[in-house]
Amino acid sequence: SFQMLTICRIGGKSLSAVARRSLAAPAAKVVATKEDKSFVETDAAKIASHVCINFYIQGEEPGPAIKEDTAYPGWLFEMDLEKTPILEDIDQGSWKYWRALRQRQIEQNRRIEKLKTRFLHLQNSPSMKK
Amino acid sequence: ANTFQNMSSKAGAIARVRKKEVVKVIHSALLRTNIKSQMASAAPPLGPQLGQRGVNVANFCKEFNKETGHIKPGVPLPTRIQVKPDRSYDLEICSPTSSWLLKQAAGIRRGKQNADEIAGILSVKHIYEIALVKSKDKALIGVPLQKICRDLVKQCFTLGIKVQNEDLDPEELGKFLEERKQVVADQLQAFADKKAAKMLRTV
Repeated sequence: SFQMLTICRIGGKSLSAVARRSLAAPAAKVVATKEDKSFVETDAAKIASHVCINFYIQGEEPGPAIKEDTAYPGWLFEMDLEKTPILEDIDQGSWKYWRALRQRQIEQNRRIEKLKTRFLHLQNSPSMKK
Repeated sequence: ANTFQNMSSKAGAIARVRKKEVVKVIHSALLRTNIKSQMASAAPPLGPQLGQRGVNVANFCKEFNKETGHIKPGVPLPTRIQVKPDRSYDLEICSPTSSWLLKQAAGIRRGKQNADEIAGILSVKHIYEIALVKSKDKALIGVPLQKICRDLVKQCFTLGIKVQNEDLDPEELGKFLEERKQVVADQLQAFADKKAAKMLRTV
């Protein structure tokens, strides 16, 4: 069912918290009245030239302007904008590869530890539910 | 072998603490939630959370709405409420949630729904300005702007917002937003259909 799908997607949270959230989110989208109060900038030119995050009632609309490259610090344009690569995508044999491999082994060991009998009370298994 | 030993000692400590739960320790409870500005109400989920900690809900809502009177209504604000043993509380209202700020700056309402979906586009300059806003938080005093920017970029990964070094081009951005509107409408339609189908099934 749809509710079960959302619970499976949002893993690792308590069932009651997820159930509440999955019920709230679709309802808010289907009911249009709440959407109208919040304002999101739709003009592409404004979005490109200003950062439209002004949340004060008496603030500069629509927010701080985008300045020239020189007005910003150098490190801003040297930030790493790529996602952290998974093990399979890292260059084999480099230091980062071995580091990522070791981290993966540690994660695997942690997962195996959690399956031991002394943590039976923490298992999120269907047979354990009342 | 090291990890096994650490895990078992930690687990042993947890097991021992659980058995001693009979002695009730009085902590001053910290409540961390996001409350929409000027829209604090006694309704769940906020009402029960405050009531359980012994806070006067009506007073709290009035005070919160007054304090956020200078902020546009409906902006989600992370708040930290430290409840003291004599039922008074310290209220700390932080700058709006980064996800809200990022979505506003990108002009979108919804993030991505599946991996490899691009929900919006931002430039690093947008990220910098948002980081300036966030850096005024009490919790982020002393944190270098570089770190705040990096954290915002990581949040963009989860939201599905693509960050680029160059400035945004208005025409391309306009085209992208139009396409995105269609995709979002399709997703919402799919949700509504599933919900309708579920209703029909139970009937």
